[in-house]
Amino acid sequence: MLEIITACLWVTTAAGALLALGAAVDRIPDRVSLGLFGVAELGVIVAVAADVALLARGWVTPDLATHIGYLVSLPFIAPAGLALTYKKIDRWGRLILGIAVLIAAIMVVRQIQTLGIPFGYVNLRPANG
Amino acid sequence: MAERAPRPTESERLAPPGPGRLFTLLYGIFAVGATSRAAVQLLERASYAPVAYGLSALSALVYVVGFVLLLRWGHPGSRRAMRTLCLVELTGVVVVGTLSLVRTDLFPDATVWSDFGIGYLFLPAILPLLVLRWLHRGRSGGAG
Repeated sequence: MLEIITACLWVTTAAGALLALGAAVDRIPDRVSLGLFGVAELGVIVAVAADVALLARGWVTPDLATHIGYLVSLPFIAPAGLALTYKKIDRWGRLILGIAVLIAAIMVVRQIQTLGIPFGYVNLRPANG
Repeated sequence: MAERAPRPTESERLAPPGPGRLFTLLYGIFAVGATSRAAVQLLERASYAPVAYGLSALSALVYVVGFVLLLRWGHPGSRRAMRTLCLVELTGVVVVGTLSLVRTDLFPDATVWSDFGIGYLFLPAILPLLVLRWLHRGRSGGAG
């Protein structure tokens, strides 16, 4: 499960970086931007689902309330970005999508940290995993 | 024959231009993050660091007000209100950031503005400066 969450983190980060790059070059079509956004949001949802499965298997977190807070808010970050483009996928719209997706990626990192795994060791399997 | 553009909805009409939409997202995320943080801190251990947690609540309030102002952009006075809010925010970041370094006894636990917002990639310090610049440029250009 940790491997799935970590893979989703990289997928979301890559999609966010490509969206930000798209805003910089201002030459990618709206469909590509929305596709990247969709991939990122799917990554976030899979990361949350994998995390819930991990908790259901009995994973003990140092601070369950904070961890659940991240799990609940995480799926809404990127859609909030989409809503705040106000249906204008122009250069600023793409940047907003990119920043929202990158913030979601940072929150996946925080999600991993609040599982009790220090940042920098996200690819290691802990003793109880 | 040219298609007629759909009439903008109320929320689209009130959307801030350009970077303002990005600032709305950032203020929204900070509003949720800071409010959640302050609520957990105050509900679980208010007596442990009352000054720090009180300031967390103040920062949450600032971000919520900023978010609402940007969501309802275009109303009379929203530009002036946002400018005042950014100055309050910037003052808060500088004062709390400095106090958290020189009076560590007051801050046994961190707030959003501790160490000038280092826990949030210094965005709490950078964000009001960017918004103030955006407001200034908008006024110079005659927009808003």
